[in-house]
Amino acid sequence: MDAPLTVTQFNERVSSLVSTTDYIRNIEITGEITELKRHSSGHVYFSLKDADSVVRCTLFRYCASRVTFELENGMKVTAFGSASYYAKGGSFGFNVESMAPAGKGEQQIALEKLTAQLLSEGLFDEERKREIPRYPTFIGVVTSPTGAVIRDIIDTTARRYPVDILLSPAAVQGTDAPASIVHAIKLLENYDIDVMIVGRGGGSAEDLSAFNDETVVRAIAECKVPVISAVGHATDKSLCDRVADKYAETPTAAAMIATPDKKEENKLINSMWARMDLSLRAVTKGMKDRFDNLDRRLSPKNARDAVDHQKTKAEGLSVRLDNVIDRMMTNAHNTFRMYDLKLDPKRMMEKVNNQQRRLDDASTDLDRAIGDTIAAKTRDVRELSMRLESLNPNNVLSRGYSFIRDSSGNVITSVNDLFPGTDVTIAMRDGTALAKIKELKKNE
Amino acid sequence: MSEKQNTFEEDMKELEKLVEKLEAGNLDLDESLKIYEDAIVIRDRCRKFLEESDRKVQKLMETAQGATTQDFKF
Repeated sequence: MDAPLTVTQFNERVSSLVSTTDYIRNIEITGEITELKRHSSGHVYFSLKDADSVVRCTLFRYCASRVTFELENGMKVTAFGSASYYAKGGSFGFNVESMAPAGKGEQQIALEKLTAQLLSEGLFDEERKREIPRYPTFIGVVTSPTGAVIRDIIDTTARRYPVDILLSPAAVQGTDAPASIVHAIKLLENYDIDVMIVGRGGGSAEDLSAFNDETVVRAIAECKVPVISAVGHATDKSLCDRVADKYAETPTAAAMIATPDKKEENKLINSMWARMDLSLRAVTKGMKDRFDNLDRRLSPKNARDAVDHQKTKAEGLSVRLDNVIDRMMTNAHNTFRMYDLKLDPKRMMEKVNNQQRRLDDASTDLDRAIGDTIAAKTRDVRELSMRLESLNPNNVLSRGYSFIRDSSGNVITSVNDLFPGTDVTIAMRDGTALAKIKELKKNE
Repeated sequence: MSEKQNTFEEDMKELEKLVEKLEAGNLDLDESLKIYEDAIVIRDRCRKFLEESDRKVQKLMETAQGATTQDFKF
């Protein structure tokens, strides 16, 4: 036995065999397109499958440009080409040179039937779409816990808005996927979430079948909260995308639909604040205008005007007052003249003269009366004087009478005042004589 | 105004209401300043909320006892 082949040697032998076997060259294969991928180079990769088997196909750019219809997953086609073996990778495939549609695939037929049914039920109607809450506090996500979908959603929301996230893990491909997704949706509905994102993510990008499953579509339609679908791509929208309240081409886009952008919110706050400031400024300006108005009214010029005004008013009052005083003065004057008339000097002089005359008369009468009285009194005095002269003791003595005084000078008129031996003085008309009493004899 | 309980959404609505109230005018200086002061509190609360970063990312887990949640990390 020969020495063992290297892998390369083996692959080269297979490659040589495949490329020279007419049995599998320049033939037609009919099958349903699946795992359709358009490479940026222009080459198209897909698989053709029937109920039991799959074969990988390559449609090189120069051939792809000759295909006149739009390739779609699920589409049944007849491909012309040859088997090929890629020696380096050890992979077998079919190089397609030209293609033609070959009626509809079974999956395609089933999908169209389901779509028609759901359409007739109105599940895709725009009126059914619910609004995504503007400010969610809690977002539920149904997707694979391992894919990029959940990572993109978490990263995007973290950048945009503070919100809690609850992941409800689901298998998104394989035969269990539909039941797993429905279960994950139902579980999430027990939580107080504001919005739900259902995303594909993970595994091969081709397998949309779970998101075209009737049970999944109905679970989304019946969901208690609005659902954002992030399943398909622009070219092949799934039924989930159509039934959901919002549809996003990528998980990142779904997260952006689910959350507001804090930059925008800050802008909104700032713009509200600008309005606030403007309004407050208007209020303060209003106050200022009022103050200015008052201030103006209190300005020196206005004050002078006000004073002038008051002055004019005062002058008016003054004139009126003058008039009143004039009137009062006139009245007083008239009254005075009346009294003045009554108190006329000429008449007064007459009155005075009259009184004077009367007084003069009275005075003359009085003089006469006094004169008369004085004369009478003078006569009386003369008469009395004469009578008094007749009573002068000296005159009596001259008529031969004498009187006796004691040593003390007292006139003695009774013998009772004398004792024998008493010295007495006898007064006579032309002198005195001292005598001593010898004997007393009382009249009987 | 119930302070802490207001959600961001409620605060934003309240802020808009206060702005409109102030814009409508017919308020004296005291009332206007009161609104302005209230608005400052709400505005600052809104801004602070937007800067918050401590949010929860959790994963639903099914156990024999039913569904529970636990922190989710990659």
